[in-house]
Amino acid sequence: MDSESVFTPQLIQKKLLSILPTVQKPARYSGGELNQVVKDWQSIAVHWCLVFPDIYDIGMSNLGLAILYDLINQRSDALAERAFAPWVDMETKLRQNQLPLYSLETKHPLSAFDIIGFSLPYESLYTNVLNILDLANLELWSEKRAEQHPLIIAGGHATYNPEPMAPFIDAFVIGEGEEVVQEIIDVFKAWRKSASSRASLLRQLARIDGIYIPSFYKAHYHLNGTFSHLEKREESAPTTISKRIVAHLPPAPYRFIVPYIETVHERIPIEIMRGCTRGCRFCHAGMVTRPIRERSVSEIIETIQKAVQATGYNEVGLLSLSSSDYTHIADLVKEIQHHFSSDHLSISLPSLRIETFSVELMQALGNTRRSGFTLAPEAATERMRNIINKPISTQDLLQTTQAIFENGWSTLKLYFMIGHPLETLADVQAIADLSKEVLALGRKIVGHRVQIHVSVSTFIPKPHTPFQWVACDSIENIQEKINLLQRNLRGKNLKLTWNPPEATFLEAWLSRGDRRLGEVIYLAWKEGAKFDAWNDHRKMDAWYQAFADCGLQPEFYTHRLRPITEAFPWDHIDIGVRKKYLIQDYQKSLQEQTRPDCRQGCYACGILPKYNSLRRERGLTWKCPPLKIL
Amino acid sequence: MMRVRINFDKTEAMRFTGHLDLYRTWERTLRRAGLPLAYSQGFKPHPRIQIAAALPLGFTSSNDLMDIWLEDELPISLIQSCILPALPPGLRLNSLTEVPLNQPALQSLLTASEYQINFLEPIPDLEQRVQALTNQSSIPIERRGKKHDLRPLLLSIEIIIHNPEGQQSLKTLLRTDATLHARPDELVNAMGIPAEKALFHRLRLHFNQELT
Repeated sequence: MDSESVFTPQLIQKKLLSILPTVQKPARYSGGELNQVVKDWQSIAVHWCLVFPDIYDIGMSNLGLAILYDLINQRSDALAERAFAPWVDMETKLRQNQLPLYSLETKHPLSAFDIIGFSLPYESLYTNVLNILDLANLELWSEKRAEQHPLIIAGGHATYNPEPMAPFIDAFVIGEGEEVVQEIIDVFKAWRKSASSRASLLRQLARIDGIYIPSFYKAHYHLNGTFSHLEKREESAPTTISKRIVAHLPPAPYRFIVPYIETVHERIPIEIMRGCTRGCRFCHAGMVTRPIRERSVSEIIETIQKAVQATGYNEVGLLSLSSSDYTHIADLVKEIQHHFSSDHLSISLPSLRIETFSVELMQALGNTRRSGFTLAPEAATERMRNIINKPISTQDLLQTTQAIFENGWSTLKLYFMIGHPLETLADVQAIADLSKEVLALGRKIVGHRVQIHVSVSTFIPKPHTPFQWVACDSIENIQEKINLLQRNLRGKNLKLTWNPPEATFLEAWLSRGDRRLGEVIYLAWKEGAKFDAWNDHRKMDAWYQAFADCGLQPEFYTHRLRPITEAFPWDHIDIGVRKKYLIQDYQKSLQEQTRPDCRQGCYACGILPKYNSLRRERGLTWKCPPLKIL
Repeated sequence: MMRVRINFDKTEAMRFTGHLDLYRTWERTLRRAGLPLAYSQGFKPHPRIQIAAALPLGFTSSNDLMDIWLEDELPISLIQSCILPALPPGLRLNSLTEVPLNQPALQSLLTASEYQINFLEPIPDLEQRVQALTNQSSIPIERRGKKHDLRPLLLSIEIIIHNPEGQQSLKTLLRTDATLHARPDELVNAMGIPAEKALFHRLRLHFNQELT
């Protein structure tokens, strides 16, 4: 069936008229929102469909998507439209009516686009990617696609280990996308003029820094099942692929699309800083987003003004991995007070450090007490805090919570992490004890209105972090730890939530997976796995069956302590932080030693020399101090 | 303080926006317009906006009405020129008028709603179905587990044929007030036609007094 010619936008639009009234939240599928960009299809050279492989309500709150949408649409020779995973009711309708998945802006089927770019911030979206390709009537395996098919690209934090999705994706974008999307469009345009093969397009793309063409490599394994090496099948392909970074954060987008229906975040997102210097060992983002780059206070203020005017939102989220570390945080808050205090505008500042100064910042922002205050101590004993390199003191924590209650907040959310294999039941008991101590403090200050919400997540060892060698905790241990918390943290004013351990394992095996998992993902999807990030949709049986059918063990990926000497399937992806540094940091964790904030002194993670020329060319410095000789 | 009545259309782009989301869309539109909105008192202040009648998801409308309250008195022409560039694709502005602050809420003056129902495919026996419906002494339906009778709420209904294509429509006037209302999709269902075979449009609202 020639899907391109059968499904015109007009036909899709017409069919939708009778389909949409029969599904939940039809506005997810109709587009037409304020600030969407619609260009004349015929007169544009490169058509790019940006896909967030979860539902509209979630995808529309993703800042990465908004940035790329804005950048691509600024070009006169390219357009970007959007597509999301349809919810199950809509998927059924699409399949019943044999309608392909289409873009929201012009209702073109996905197969009519030149480039389809998937955003993959986390691993539990992988099966949705397959489902979307299938709904678009496209071949799932990249080797089966040809010249007339769209180029399938993927990027985002999960793709720092691209291997599990390697069989399905033509080209991965490793690192920050702002500059590289422009280069991809240029290469694509030139390639189409030359009317050469798809292989030649891939070869040209491979020359762009940060682009990884998985089909140019073949993976080899040792007899014991561990990864051996990648063999190049294309001579010109690079041996390592270095992540792309931008020297400067480009101007922040402000003309955000305003959905007609409620989405997860109803706010203007502004990235105030990229990167983090804290070095928490479990934190993938903290390792892969180095170095630190900040936006100026004046740019942030100006962006808030322009964005409020363009969207009408009454909420702003100032985003970063660690707001307190933003150099001009006090100035920023002062300026915000000065400009917006009478505007019915609420400004949130997530990821604050555990110190009383954070309470002052929140106080100054005039944040509503109802929304509660959030702190993430992650661990409750000094030993565990040293192991994960998040060295805060219990005394600071108690002082901070005291200040929170004294300033009128009565709801406090505490984030903890369990499941590091070195964690004992005593460490977990300490989480319960500390939470109860905070509760008692709250009772004393604000009385019975106090609400302590303890949110516990399970540790997942991530690639490119100092914990990439570490095994996941056993299901029995995790269950025992959760049970302990459940027994201890019940009662009035206390709420405990935790992740289902199985969801954690799914993410765990995919995040440190190798190329063989492609087949597993495919078979799991065939058996009905999709929306794996949704607790009520995850089909673990499909996944276990898929592993069995492939002759692979999930435990091999999750519950195996890897030796320092082991080659990893993602070693060819260079994030700028040296493996030696990660090994050193891993060993320090075993000795319960911390490595303090690197703003106070450089530990030579490798990011500086790696991007030295970029730094010199652009004539600027980012927030890395000079190298400290240890 | 001033109270401004806005006559607007909810068009195709917002067909699938429900009542609450329409309210939020207006809230954002007026914020973009930069008007000095009056806010409600209380813990979580809201701009004072009253929409005359809820419009179900999937419906478009014309001559919809709502009142907004502003902190300062401004010329109507200025308010209009602020709102026009701030409108999203799914809203069209027809007219604005200042109304006395003490006038009762629009909702309390509402008596009936006029709808046009456009069928997406031909209904060969539409005339018989309409006839049968109007001949019934009661039109029982169930809404959220409760029984209702649409017959006393059905004030008028007529068939319109759009030539030259011959597309069929119904025009109907349904009673709408604080206690009772009928939905045109319920009416279509009661005629034995699935509601997704038609598009629904509210033409205008009727009130028990001449509105300024």
